[in-house]
Amino acid sequence: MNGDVVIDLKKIYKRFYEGSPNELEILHGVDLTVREGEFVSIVGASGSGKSTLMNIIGALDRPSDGSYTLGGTDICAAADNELSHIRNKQIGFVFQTYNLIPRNTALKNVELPMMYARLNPFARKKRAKELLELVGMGDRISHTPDELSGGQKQRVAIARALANDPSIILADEPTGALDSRTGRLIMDLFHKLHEEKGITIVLITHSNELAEETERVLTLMDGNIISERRGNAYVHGQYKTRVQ
Amino acid sequence: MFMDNIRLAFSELFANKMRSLLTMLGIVIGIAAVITIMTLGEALQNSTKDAFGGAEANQIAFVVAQKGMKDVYDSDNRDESARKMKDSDMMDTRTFEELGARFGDRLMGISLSDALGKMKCDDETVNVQSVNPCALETAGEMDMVAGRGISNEEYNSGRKVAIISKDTADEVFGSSEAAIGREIEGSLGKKTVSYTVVGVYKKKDSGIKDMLMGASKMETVYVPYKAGLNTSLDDVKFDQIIAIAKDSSDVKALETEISDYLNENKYGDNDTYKVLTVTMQSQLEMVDKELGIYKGILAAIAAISLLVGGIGVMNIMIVSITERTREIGTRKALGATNNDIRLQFLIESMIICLVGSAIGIALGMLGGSGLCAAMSITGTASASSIAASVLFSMAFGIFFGFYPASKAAKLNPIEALRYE
Repeated sequence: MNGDVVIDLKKIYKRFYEGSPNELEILHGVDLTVREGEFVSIVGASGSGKSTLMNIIGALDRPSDGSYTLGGTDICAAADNELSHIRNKQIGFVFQTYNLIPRNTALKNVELPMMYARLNPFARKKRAKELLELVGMGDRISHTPDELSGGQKQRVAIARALANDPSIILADEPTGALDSRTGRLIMDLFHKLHEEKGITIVLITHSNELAEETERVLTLMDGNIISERRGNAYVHGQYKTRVQ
Repeated sequence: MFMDNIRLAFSELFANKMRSLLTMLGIVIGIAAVITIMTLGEALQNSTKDAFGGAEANQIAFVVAQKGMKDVYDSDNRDESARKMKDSDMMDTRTFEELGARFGDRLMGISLSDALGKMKCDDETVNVQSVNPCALETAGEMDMVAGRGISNEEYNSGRKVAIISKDTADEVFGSSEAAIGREIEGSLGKKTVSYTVVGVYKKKDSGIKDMLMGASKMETVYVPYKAGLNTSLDDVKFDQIIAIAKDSSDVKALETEISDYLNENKYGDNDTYKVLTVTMQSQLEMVDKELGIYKGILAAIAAISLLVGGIGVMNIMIVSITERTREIGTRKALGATNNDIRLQFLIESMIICLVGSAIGIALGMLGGSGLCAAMSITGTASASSIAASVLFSMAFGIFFGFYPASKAAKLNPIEALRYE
């Protein structure tokens, strides 16, 4: 049912202050593959190397050692500009703090990745409207972030992440700043996108409860992936009752 | 993309209205000052040319001077021990006849004019100036408000007639009409003189000319040249004469040809003296050049405030970029390249400078025409100075925006995203 390998990390090391006396190794040879259409979570306590791993998966940073191919592109060898294009086309970021551009309407925010992809303004606007409809924000397209609630902002951010039809959605604690009810709605939206649209999602979280909802749970501890298992709630379809 | 950046720049500008306004102020003041000064300078230059239009600008003076001198101002080469000028070294009516025969078709004539002195009549003191028709031409544009001008017959005979200014007529006779036919009398030096008023004139105002020539507030009474002479015109010797060209484009040629003619035929055998020339055109060119220099210096000083304004723009761009670090991080995460970010902030600083210069141009045009009106000269901002302002402010935007924009472009996306 799941397709080709989208993310392929092999023996990923990340060291900071390399060569200096206080050199710090955060990731110690992480192996990770994600296939098309999967909903995977990476769970770990703070200090486990989650953020560092996320930065590497998100092509914001390069590993010190090891190889990483994303959708067939070798990330380690890519120049800064190529990394920008990879982030633009292949990755949809969803941040804990939404990171919408202030003073820009929801529509303009969703258009942004398409603007950097040099899509023409009409196509941009059309698709941004469709995406906002998809996440249930069709009636708020001309609101600025100040005029939206946390949950609404995160919906706009998810629509923005989907803009260029990326290989994966990379969500970093997407419910971390939301109350549990709103957080639930956001998780339901991810499930809907995953099931109905077959979108590949990598969820990074410290919450085991959320991780259980995903197909595959990878536990990160001290820079190593220590376990990999199926999500219990996902297997039993428990979250589904909440969707309806 | 480009249009998006422009739209974005304007929305940032309006989001922080007060800050944008203060940032632009330096540019506004700088551009306004430059435009005002350029407008005023050009207006002064133009009105100088206009004020000395026509016959006045076509004057060529021939001055008898020592052979060693290079030009009329060359006092360094004047030999104090040289022999004094004698009557035979000077020019007279025979010179006029020779010049008339040779260059008559190209000359309006030779200007003869003599300041006879100040004449007191009643409470008024007036200048008495004897002129020939040609000299009166160069005295500035005048309209006769009553009576007539001095006739040829009166010029030739040297009759004691006069034309007086409207102010003098009003003061001495009550009105212009009342003055016609009356005698204006008073003491000129030790003598008492009397002239019959045949006409009343009114001169066109020329503020600029008064400024340059040092206008005396005193009114002038013009009388025929011969009326001021105690001897026959043929006996008068001139150490300088003024010829007036018919055509302004002929001044330079006449200057050379006449001085060559005089120096060959009249002064060829003279052991000490020759003629030197000076034209009104060259004098005006000098004034024009000086005004140009002043204009340049003042504009340069004004440009310093533009520079300060530019530094202000750079400063506020750095602040703005620091404030928007997270936004920059987000944009990079969404796929903006370094160049995309650099372009965004370059356009933003260019827009600040352009909007500032637009306001500055408007204020400068107001200021320039206001000052021109106060000096009663006409002037409008030239298209070239407006175009230069726009180009300069764009260049300023790029120059002062480049460092902040590059700083933004080089931000590490991970750190920028984490920035609080």
